[in-house]
Amino acid sequence: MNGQPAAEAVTVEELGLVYGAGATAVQALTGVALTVRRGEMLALMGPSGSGKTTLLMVMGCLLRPTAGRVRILGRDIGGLDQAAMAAMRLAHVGFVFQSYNLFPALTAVETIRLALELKGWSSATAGEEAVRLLAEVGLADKQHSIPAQLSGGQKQRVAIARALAGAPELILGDEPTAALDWQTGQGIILLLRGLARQDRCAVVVVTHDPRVAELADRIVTIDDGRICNPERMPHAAS
Amino acid sequence: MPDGTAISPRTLRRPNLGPSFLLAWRNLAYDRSRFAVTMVGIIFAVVLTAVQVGLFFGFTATTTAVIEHTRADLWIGLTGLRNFEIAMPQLERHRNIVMGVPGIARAEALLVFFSAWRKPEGGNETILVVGFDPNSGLAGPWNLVEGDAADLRLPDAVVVDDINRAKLGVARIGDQVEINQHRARVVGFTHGIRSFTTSPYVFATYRNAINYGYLRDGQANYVIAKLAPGADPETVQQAIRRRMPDVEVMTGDAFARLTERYWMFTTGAGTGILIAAALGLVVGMVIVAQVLYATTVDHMTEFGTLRAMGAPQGFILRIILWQATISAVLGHAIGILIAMAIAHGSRYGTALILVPPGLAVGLFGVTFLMCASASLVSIRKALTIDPAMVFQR
Repeated sequence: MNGQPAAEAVTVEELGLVYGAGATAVQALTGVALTVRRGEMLALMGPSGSGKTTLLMVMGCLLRPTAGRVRILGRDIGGLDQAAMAAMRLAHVGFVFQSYNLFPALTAVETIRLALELKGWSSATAGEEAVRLLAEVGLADKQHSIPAQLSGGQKQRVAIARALAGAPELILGDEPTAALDWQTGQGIILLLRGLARQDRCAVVVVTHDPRVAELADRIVTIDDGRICNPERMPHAAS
Repeated sequence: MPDGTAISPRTLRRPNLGPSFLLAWRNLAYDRSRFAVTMVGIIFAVVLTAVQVGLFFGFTATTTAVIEHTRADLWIGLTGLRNFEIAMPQLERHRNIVMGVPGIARAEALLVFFSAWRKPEGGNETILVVGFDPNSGLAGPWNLVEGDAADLRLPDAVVVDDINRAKLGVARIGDQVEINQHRARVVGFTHGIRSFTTSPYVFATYRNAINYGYLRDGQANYVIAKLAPGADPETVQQAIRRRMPDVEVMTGDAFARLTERYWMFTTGAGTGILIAAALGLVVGMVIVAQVLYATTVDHMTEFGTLRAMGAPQGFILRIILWQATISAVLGHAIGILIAMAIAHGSRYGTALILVPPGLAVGLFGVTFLMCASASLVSIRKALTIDPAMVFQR
């Protein structure tokens, strides 16, 4: 952390989420309370099915809570309809996926330009910003490469640059290093952490890998839909 | 975003069509094999439809060709007349009665009858003899490409179309044949005068045609008339009907439409062609729908990613519609060019295919509707996508 007072990007209070209804209902999250501040990187850990991706989706305005409150940048998302949730995502949230989820037919620069133009940027300014973002993630020389021409690490860097498009206040990563070797994955996590500190955005990363989590500013572990250690700090968050 | 509750105006501004078009085009072009299949489907539908409709137009034009090229204002035939080719012979005096009607400048007999053509090398062919008065210029062959029309006045002279040279067994001017066991000699060739009945037209002067049909002088299947300058066609028609209640009188245009309707719809020939055209569209649509659906399903993760990023449903809709539009434009352009080439080639065949500019333009609308309709299933699937799916892979 850089010592400045950190604004809260996400506030979760007594969050509950149930999938389905009736006899088939599944309680995915129970009484979750959590705060993520701008400028910090938080790692969400837990076993498979523990609810960490569900929590990430709630924070990303992809799921509405069935209990409790979730505020993204101060706005309670409980009452938002689908269109408003989509608008929140577009304006304030960037996603980084495990499988990169790039568009196979678009070059790196087109991918980022597309994200910017979706946010209303003009084609010309979006093009300039896309080039800048690619340089920021170390891919200045890969602007015109399609995903098939990039390595796994390079693809994830393009995905990060896309997530950064339009300077969102919240970046959510779903196992962003799971498909990468440790060295490449470490580079990706350090890049995300650096961006969090440099751009004052909040970064939340779901991971199974303790080595990845140790690079975050804070680690939150979830098990069976409940947070186990809300205040655990990594051993070496340098 | 100081308070985090508002969305910037820049964000709310509607994105232009650029990115959706880019993604649509790249999605199509990226998988070239699939794009080729899409194109084949659309091109197939366009060519099949254009050729079938072109055949319809060609047949329609063929059925009325002689009527359209006859400079008569009125056609008079016996009651029950339904088409040009089949007309009962009239009484000899009908022509004289018509001549006596006020407002008629000229009336003459026209013979139209099926007959037997014996080829020089043996073998018979059914023909349709058109016997006309060469003095008035009201009727007769047109587009003569070999020979002299004046030679038709010679005894036993006939003019046939060069498309039918092989069918009629004649190769050049001077070839002799038999019509209904009467000697006939080819004195000229026209080009492009086809017969819908497949029995070639053989043009002869009224005098010669009388001989070929063993008919009485003055006998006629039609009396064709030219109005005097300033005469009202409707008034003249009524006057003729009053004098001859057993005939039908109509303008050339009305007779052409009557003949068209008979051959194209009463006989079912045109309906069959139009049904084939519709089937072409349906088959094309099914192919395109399947390919567009498969393309959409293939890109479902991308659409899910876009939705997760916050792209509105309209953006996804535009991508799919752009895909349909691009496919339609390219498929139509290629398809219509092929259809026009086929139509060009038909100039030398017995079946005329007409692909006028209006048909090409109209077919673009049909092609676009076909592609847009074919993408409806894809649109439904893409619009109901749950953006959370991208986290569940």
